[in-house]
Amino acid sequence: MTRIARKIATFVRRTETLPLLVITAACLFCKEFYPLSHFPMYSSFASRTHYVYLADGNGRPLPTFPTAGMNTPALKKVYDHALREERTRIKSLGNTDAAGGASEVAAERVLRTVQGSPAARTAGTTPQVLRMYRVDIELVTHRFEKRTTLLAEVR
Amino acid sequence: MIAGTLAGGAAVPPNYEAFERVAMRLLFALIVWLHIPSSLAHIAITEPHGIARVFDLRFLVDPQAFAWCQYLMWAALVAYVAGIGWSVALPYLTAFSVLVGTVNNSRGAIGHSLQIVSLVLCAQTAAHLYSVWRRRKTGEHHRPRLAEDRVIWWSQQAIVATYFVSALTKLIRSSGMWFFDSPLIAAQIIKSNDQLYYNHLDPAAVGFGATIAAWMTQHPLLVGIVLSSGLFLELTTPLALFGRRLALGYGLALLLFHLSVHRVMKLDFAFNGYLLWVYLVNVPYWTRCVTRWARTR
Repeated sequence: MTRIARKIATFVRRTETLPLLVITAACLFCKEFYPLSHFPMYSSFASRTHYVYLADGNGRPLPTFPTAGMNTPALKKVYDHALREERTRIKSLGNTDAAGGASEVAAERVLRTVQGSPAARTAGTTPQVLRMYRVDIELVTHRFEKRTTLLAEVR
Repeated sequence: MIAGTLAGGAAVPPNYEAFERVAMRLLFALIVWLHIPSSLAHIAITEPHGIARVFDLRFLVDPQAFAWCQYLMWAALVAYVAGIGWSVALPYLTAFSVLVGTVNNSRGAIGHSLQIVSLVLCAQTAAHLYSVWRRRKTGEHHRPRLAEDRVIWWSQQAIVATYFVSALTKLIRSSGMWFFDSPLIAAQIIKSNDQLYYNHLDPAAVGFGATIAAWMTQHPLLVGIVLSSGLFLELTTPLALFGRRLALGYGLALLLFHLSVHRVMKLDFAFNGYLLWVYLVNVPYWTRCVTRWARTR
């Protein structure tokens, strides 16, 4: 084992490939600490997924980029992050009855952030009533089904 | 060839000629300039990420402060292309790139399109400072050409590392079952195409994902094989470091990989593509080879 390690060390020293090993180890260890990343995109799959989108008071979709100053995948990540935080908060309070409402609270929080964002202020076209919808996509017997749910509405 | 190259220790780091080094400097400076947005004023730092958890980076959101940082960036890029003052220019460019990327990822959503440029800048700074340190420690004669070859060599390693890490993460997170799970990517294709529609309510994006996803669910084995070839490519990317031919082959294969991902999932990793062209494919070198070959015939 020591001999193999020594051979690898000699090889790395001779070829000067230590940066490759260091960057790889640092990325895997730190996971997400810019600029380090373990690049988790599409590293695991499930038969269901979801995304969110914005709409006005009548349920008409709004373009995410000019409304929120970010694209739809980023909006989903912001919502998912807020949802995880809300679930952790509820769990820490020991209030399991309220766990079902976590997605609504998280969505409302994100909508408030979008309303007050620099992008919304610059655009000045954000409607008075802003809604967030969640679309669940699920593979059911070789075909995909979509289900849309209203998460929250702010004025 | 690979076994022979490995056994022989390979000619690494390779020696680059002046025209290659100048082309790489110029093109990389262009990439660095492109990856910095014109403003960060539209960003609200709601969830500090990385170094933003320690330092307050809100000054970068201020348009005036950001403009000054950009002026300094242009000066550093000019110095970089000219090959002077790298001990100042490279650390500045690296710090600016990392701070901008950190702010961009501090709004509760982590993106992965800019990391590769910042990582290459980190590698270049480390390579340059290592050369300076070696020169001071060993008193060896200053050889700018050798020092710049090291900068290029470490940049290539940073690029390769991003793909290698991505492959390892796939294997770790799927517990080695990525091949069997990969046909489920169809659901992600529907999602990414729908998300593209909602970005600007672009009617051209409607329905495209559903057609491909439906086909994928009918052919899971074929989909698994095709997608796993991408994983195999990522996993073996370190081989790109063993010679110019392998670098060219891997560079082109990875570009094709990104092109297919873009076609199907509408995911654009532009900076990965640019860096592959510059540091792995290395068009100037192969153009000269082809020209010479054509002349001798």
